[in-house]
Amino acid sequence: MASDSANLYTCLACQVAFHSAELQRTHYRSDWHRYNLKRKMAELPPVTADNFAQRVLAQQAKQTEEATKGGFSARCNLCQKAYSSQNAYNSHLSSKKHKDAQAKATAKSSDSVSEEVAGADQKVHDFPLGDNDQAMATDEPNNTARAQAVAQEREINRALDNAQTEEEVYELLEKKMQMARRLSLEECLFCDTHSATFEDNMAHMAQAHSLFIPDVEYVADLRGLITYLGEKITVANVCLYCNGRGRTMRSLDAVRNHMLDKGHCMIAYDNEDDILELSDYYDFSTTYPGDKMEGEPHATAAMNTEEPETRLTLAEARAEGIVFDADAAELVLPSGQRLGHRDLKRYYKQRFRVEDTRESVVINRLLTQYAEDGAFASAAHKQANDRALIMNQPRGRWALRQQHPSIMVKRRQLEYDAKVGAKANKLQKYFRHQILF
Amino acid sequence: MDHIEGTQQHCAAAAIVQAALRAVLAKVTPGTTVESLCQFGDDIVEGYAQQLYPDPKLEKGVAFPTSIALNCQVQNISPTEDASLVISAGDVVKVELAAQVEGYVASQAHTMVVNLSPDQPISDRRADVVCAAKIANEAAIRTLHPGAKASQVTAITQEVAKIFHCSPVEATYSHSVKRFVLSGQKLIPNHFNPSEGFRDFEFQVGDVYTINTVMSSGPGKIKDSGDKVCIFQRDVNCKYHPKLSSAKQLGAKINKQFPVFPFAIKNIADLRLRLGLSELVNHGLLIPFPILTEKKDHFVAQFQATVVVTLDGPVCLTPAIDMSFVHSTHNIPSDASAAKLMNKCVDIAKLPELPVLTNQPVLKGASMDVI
Repeated sequence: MASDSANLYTCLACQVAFHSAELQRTHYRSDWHRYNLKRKMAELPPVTADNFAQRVLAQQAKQTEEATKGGFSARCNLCQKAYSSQNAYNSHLSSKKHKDAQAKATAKSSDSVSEEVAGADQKVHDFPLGDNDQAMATDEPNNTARAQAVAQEREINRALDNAQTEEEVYELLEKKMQMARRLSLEECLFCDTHSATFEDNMAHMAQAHSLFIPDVEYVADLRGLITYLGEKITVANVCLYCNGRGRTMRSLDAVRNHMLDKGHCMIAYDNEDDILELSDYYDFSTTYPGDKMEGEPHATAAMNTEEPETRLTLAEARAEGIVFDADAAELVLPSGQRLGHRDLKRYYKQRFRVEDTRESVVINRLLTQYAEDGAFASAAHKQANDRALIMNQPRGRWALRQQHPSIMVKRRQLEYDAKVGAKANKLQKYFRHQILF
Repeated sequence: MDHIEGTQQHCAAAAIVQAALRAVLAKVTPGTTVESLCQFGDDIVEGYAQQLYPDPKLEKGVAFPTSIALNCQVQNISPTEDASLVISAGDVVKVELAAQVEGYVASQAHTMVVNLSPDQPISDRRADVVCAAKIANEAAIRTLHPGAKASQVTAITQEVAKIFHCSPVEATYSHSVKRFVLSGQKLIPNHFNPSEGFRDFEFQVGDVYTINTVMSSGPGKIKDSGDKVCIFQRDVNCKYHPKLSSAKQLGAKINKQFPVFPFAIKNIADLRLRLGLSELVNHGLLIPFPILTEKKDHFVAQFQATVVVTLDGPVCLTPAIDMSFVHSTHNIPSDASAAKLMNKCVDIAKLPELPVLTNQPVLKGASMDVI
């Protein structure tokens, strides 16, 4: 036994012996030996090989379990907290703190507008609570695809940061454009809500996010406009209100969070550039002078979807046949009567003499007007003050007209002299020295 | 002359004038009032114009109201109802009237002596002045060739007047006629007055003239008779807003009824409107045509015709009307230029035949017996 033991090669940490040095060396390299070494350091008894194998299997099973649990993430909006495990989240939900907050929120919402309740409900339902198993099941493949896309997007963004040449940047941008998720017409621009129809979606965005479409009565292509806005958010990752002027964002979620947090759920429509950007989807031809009634039915139809009440009165007026004449700033009633603004009363009160267009009057005026002008008058006309000569006209035409022109001419001359004199300070006719030495 | 613009309308107007003038002259009998004769002449012109051109938008009718001047009176007499001018035997009666169709004017004047015994010619100064006016008028018409000077008309008038120991009346003119303009800018005086000056001009193809010859047995000096003016013309170039309501209404009525041509105040029936007349006249909206007279014991004769200047010479639109039986003691010497002119023929335009008037106007006021 002694000779046997003398020939044996031992491992003290694992308390095993080997017949050859070779076997001992391979043992030293194994995971079992390392594990026991660590246990020896911690002054724990060594484990046997079987035990170690069991431990390894248990560990592997644990790891796989953890891996499957890794996709879980939940957020409690009431308490503003995020959880990565189901257990933690469940324990939070049953906690006293959460229940207090929930009680407070329901009390608040009961006496505020019902819309908000709906909104809050919707957000609560966004969580994968687990009791709605079917929804979870359908969402799962979607979620993994979306997670993949997010990862890819992140990669591209990283590559964009490192890109050196312009071509590289363009290439990456194109790739990003192809990759980027597109929102359908039934999807909300600002949250994950998916409505049944486009109209429902518009109603949701107007109610939940207060989306206002400027100049809605002139929108020619509402679906096109919404699609374009969606691409701005998903592809270009631009806030609709900042319109690229604020800080740059790199993902759909970032843009959505920004718009929701900042209250930017509106369309930039102040600058000329902003207006021009959307001009493809608008048709302002009805406001141009000339064609007044064209395109009117279209505009009112678009208006019916979501319009404040003030606009509707105008639509009602239109329906009754009252038209606004933008050129003259007048309302035209169906009877043809025109209503003007009272500020312009003084102009409406003016009455102009209608020009006589009869052929006889026009021709006569043209052919005889030069006789009134001194330059064109004959010698007889010029000496109009001589009574004998006045009668020397065909049929005594100029009789009794002698006085008026001369008085008028003289008065005009006097007025002119006075004006010139007052201007040049030359009214003083007789001059004397101002200072007598 | 068919190439001249408005010939058709000119001829229609001339036919109306002829018919009206003949009808009026036929009614000139002792005891007839001047007022009723004037109204009669106007009614005929208006009647024909309405019958030929029923379109209310087309402008037609009287271009110058029928004016009847007796003895020493010169022109512009179309009196109102209250005037007491009665034609008596032996009077020299001058009838002048003008009609227009679409603004194309034809005018004519004729002088007749009221002779109770048509077999016996009248052979005193009345005969001289009528002959002088007629011959001077015919001679003047014959001078109207393209390229001829206006001064030739004055010269021939003066020459004829001298032969008959008469004188052309001053302040009487022949004048050009334009569409809607009764007396145009081109004037040919009958009596040349050096102090007045005279712009000579040449006749051109297409011109239309009213050759108006007025002769006096006296010196030919005229003055305003002082009688109430009865013919007015609106001045289209005068812009004045009347203040009196009657003047406003009168102005509106005149603008509607007589926009450019002279009219007689008797045609405005409403006496209240006539109140506004003085304001319109004083401010130049209306031009009065004063009644001119020669001295009392002299006689004035007038002949007038509308003539178109064509390439072939003058074409008279208004053919002459038969003369009264007068015999002058004076003769035109054969070497006078007037005699040479009178030997020429003058073309007469072919006037359309007028239908019978459906509403024959009636001469008001039966003629009174005058012995």
